[in-house]
Amino acid sequence: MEHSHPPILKACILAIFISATACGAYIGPAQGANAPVSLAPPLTSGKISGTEFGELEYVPIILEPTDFYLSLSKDLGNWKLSTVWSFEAMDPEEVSSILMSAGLGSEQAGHLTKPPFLTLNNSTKLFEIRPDEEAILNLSPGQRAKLYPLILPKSPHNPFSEPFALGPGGVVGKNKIHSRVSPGLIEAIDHMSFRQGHTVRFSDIRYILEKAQDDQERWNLMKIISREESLSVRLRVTNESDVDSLVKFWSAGGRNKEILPLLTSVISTPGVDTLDIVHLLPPTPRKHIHTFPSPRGEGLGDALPDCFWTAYSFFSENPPDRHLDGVAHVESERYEAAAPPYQLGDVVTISDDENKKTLHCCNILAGDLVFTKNGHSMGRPWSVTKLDRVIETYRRSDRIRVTFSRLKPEFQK
Amino acid sequence: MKHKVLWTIFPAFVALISSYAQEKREEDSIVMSPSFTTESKRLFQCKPGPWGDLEYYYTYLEAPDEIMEYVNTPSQKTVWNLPDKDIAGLRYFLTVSGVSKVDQEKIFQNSLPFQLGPPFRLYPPSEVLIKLSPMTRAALSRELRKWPANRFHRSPVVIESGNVKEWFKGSKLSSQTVALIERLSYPMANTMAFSDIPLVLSQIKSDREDRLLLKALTRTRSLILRLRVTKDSDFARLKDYWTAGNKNKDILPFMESIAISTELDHIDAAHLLPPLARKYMNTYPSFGLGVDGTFPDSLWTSLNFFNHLPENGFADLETAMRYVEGNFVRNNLPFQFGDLLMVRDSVTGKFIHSCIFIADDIIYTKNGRSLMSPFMLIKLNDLIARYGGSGKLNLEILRKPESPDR
Repeated sequence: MEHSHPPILKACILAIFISATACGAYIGPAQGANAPVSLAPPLTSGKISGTEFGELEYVPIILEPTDFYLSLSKDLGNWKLSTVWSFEAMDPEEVSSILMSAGLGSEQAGHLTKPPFLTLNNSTKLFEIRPDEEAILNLSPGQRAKLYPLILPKSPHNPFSEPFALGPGGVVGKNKIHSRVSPGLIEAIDHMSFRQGHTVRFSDIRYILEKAQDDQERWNLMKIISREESLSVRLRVTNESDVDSLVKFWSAGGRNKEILPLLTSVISTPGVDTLDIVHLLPPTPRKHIHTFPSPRGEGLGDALPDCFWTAYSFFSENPPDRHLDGVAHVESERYEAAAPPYQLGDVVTISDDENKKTLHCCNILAGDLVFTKNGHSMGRPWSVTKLDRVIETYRRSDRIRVTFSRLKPEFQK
Repeated sequence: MKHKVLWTIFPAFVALISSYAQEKREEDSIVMSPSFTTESKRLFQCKPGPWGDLEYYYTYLEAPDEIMEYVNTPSQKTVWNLPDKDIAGLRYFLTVSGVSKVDQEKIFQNSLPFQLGPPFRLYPPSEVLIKLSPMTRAALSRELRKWPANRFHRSPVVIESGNVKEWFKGSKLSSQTVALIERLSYPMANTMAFSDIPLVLSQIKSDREDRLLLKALTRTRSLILRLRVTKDSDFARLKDYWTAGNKNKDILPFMESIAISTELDHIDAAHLLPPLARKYMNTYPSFGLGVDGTFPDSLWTSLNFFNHLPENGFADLETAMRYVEGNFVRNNLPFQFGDLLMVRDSVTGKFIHSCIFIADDIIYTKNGRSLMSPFMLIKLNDLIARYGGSGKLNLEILRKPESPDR
């Protein structure tokens, strides 16, 4: 997922340093080890307008992964194994030291590194702790944030090394509507959520699935945890609509001229009040909006469309498979720094300014609305959201850099 | 005028289809006076069905400028190619078509310098052309379209709505030009057609207007389809319909999202189409689609409907037909979302066109391989109007078996 800054981003003079203060109280650097994690409100309906892109209305929707994707979930099969913390250590004392380095008290660490909690797995040669319920529940968010990344193995199937990303609103935000699980489970997830940087994470999936009433509730719980927000967006078309401006913005300087016949037609059609922006997007984002990756779709083996593939394929009618290998060459050769006002399809790059890692890319749609694919997982859809939500999601440190780039004119179709 | 489509599919289903056809024909009579509530709110309602509460409005697409760049402006001189007739045959043809003796003489006089021998070409003067009746124009066109050289009759501008003024509303044509096109239009099947492009060009005095006319004549009527949703909507039934037996399961997350949304009152049906169909809907083919040597036609569009990534082999008729034989089964009414509709000549059985059934009487189609033909949703009646001008059509309903649940 992460890669180093390509030259264009290093040189980008339009970098915006987002300070904790600038981002508001929600993700200030003072988040304590025990601070609650689900603070950001969910997306709400609203409208934005601009002379260039017109008046857009949006309504939040919730996307849940398909049953097929969930049926592949290891978590639904592994919960019966109960919670296991695995560590590489020479002896129980070293395991105890690891626990204490994560903020556990010496008494608690000592308790967990004695039988029957601690065993040595002769197959993996890892020490394994099977914590009791009290130990799991009593961890503070800060302790979880420090301890869980130390739990082995490093694997996509280990919820401690690859925790669930719950989004800015945490599980409470995901569960705002149409809850199909008991409130107690949601409260427990909220209690056990923690932050990595400023992003809300959750790892204790085995514990929580064990607490579910039955398989149906486990299924529903997985659906809710995997939910992703998106926005259904419509362009309002009125007699006062500035046709030239709309055409100029949505055709993106010729990069998205496929939509012109419909846009000009709809504007001139009496009585048409709104047009879903699905009709205004270039072919590839139009194909994917509000859907999850399909096993029949783009992707080669474990190389699946991610944020980089999505952002740099925005104007590609048929994204080349080469984009699955990486887009650094595309980014450096075909894109240039973009100046405001930002245009349809401009790439927004969010990177960690401390370790120079690119965290995420997405595309400007209009105003602060962006088109994004979070991660390469088939459980993450292509969605529309607000730029500040994306920044919050990927803000793992207090110093992140947000840069904007645009397809060079010579690469217009 | 009733169209002459023969809705025969398989003997066992003839009665059923005939019943449907009758329904369609009855509907034709009101096709241009639908249930919109006011002049300014032209929303049309679909019939209720498993597809839910659908509404739509028409929108007219014109070929983009970059494609029009490749379209040559024809001469203002009208020419009728009639290679199978001698002089006597020409006179007989004109007479039975309704051209008066006086006008016949004017046509022959105007054509004399070119009448060196067969195959004959006639050059009717504007003064004769302009006063022909719509029925005479229709009769002439029926014969002229047999010969590819008569390209404006072979592929006339089809005004599916039948209402010329309405059709060109929003185009940049002058009212005089629209009035002239209306005067020169003639009935074809259950709609109107227009072939006298050279005559209209003769009335235009600038290159800019020439180009505006040619662009306006590429107009085709598409529609924007919406699904209305309320808390009372039967989402289980809607999911069942629009996912088409798992063939379109990619839309499930979106369907489920609207089921739990409390704020959405309608959604654009583009979100209910499979990804590839949504990708191309209401757009014209790009040059990129032709890099393999051929551009998409109706079969390519239909057979790729449920595909994530297009199979370009379907642009080849033989390959496509083999695929149809091996992967589809014949079905009968009621139509289901995603059904493949094959339009054939009822006499020869020759394949004419294919499209995909969406809901009610709405289909997803690309009419021909031309770059000036967009991918779009249209009414089945409009399709019949376009392809039914020359005779009777058979409509074959084919369905792909359900996909496994993945």
